[in-house]
This record gives sequence, C-alpha cells and structure tokens, in this order.
Amino acid sequence: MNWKTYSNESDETLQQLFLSSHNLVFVGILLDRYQLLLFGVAMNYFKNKSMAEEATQQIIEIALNKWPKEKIANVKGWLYIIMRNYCLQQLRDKKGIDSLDAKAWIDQEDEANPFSLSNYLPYLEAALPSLPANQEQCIRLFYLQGKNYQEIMHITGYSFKEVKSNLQNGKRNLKIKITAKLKQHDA
Amino acid sequence: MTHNIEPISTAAITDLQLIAYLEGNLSEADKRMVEAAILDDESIEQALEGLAMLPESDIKKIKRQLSSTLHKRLHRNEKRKLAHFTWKDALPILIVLGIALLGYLFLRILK
Repeated sequence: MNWKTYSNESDETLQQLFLSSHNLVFVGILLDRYQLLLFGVAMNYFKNKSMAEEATQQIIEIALNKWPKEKIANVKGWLYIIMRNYCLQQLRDKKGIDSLDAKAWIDQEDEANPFSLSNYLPYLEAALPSLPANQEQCIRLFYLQGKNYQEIMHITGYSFKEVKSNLQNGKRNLKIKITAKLKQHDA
Repeated sequence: MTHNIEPISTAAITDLQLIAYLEGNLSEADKRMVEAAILDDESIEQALEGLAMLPESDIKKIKRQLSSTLHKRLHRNEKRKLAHFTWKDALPILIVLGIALLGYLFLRILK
C-alpha cells in the first residue's frame, strides 16, 4: 500500500480505515505524525537521548500491538498519556516516587478538559488587574494584542523562559479567578 | 489595543509543525497557535522542552530515524504475516472455488 496516498487523511479517517481493514499501515501513518512529540516528552523526563529513543520505540511497539478496537477521540493525547505513564513508571522504578518532580503529576480533570484562556477572552479584562504586573503585561500582549513570544521578549526585555513562566503563572491565576466568577454567575 | 482577537485553535499539532516551529519556519498565525498550545496542552509543552535540550541540527535527523525504524518495523510485520501463511488460511477460498467448479460442471452435464 502506498503510504503517501493516505498521509494527508485526518486522524479520525485513518482510525476508521484501520478499524475496517485491520491494516497496521494506517496506525503507522498515525504514529509517524506524533513520534517526535513522544520522543520530546521522553527526553523531557529522562534528559537522556538514548533513553528517550528506547522509550519511543517501546510506546510504538505498544501502540502497534494494542491499538484500541474503538475510535480514540484524541490520538495525540492518548499517545502522550501512554508515554507519560511509561516515563513515570521508569523513573519510579529507578529513583522512588518521592524524588519525582511534582509537576509531572497532572490533575486528571485538567487533562480531560484543559482550560484554554482563549475561550474566556470576554472575562479577561476584568480579571487582569488582579495579577502581578509582569504576568498581566505578558497575558495582555499574548492574548489581547496577539503578539508571539519573540515580540513579547522584545517589548518587555524578558527571556523566553520568563515570558513562558509569566504566561503560565498568569494563566493559572486567571483560571482560578475566572472559574470562581463563573461559579458565582451559575449560583 | 486590539480586543477582538479570535480564540486560538490548538488543534492537534504534528511533528512537522513542531520541527517548523523550532526552525522558525512557521507563519505568524501558526507560530501563535503552537505558542498557545504550549500553554494549553502539556504534551506540546513537554515535547518542546525536551527537544530544546538537543542541538537543532539533531531534531530532523531523529525524526528521520524514527520514521525509518517505523517503516522497517511495519515492513517486517507484513513479511512475518506472509511467512505464517498456510493452506489453512486459504481453505475457505478453496471451498468456495470448489463449490463453484462443481456447480459449473453440474450445469454443463445437465445441458
């Protein structure tokens, strides 16, 4: 079968084709879309290239042998969770659970239903002044003025990491405030 | 100040977009899409952090290696499947062909 013929099909179509034909090439095309992402995630956990390569091969093997019989809503998310769990298991076996970075443990609710600030733009303006100045400035530039990271670095003088950290912390704080506001409305 | 920026779509981002982002080859809109995904999607954030630990020149090489290994593995699977082919696998087809042949001969005799 010609791989290229199907390489532009959506994740959903490729899953459908696999489920009706059981031809693993369709799963292969899907996996090839996200292999580097999986490798990057493993690299982030292990900080070691050969361990990350080994982990990626393990996950590919698992996915090829145990691809679900029903459609997956989010292929990338599904593969990511398998990889994350594999990495955590490896680290747990090696070092013991206590030494793991707390950040590695993701709130299950967030994982299934991530909070995207882009969907709450109307509430942003009211909540923004409550943030620390550096976070407010970065959030305004990114979400309200449509600037990218490089432009924000140029305007503010912050490094890439500082911009990312201000956006992430700002987003986390806004999530708390906006969610509380929405709950008040619902009550 | 602009207040009517459209919500950013963080639809599935593939390896090719990650490579283009790391190489600075994305349009402004796509770049913002990836950067919004860094904030909304832990897999993208972790993957980009992990890939940033490697020299930029390695990334495409790793992608090529991963793709090549996957192709070889699928090819091996195909060959293994063919190697395990036995007459038992062909039995249902042979039975149907046999019945069809008998039917044909029967009709010819009747004529």
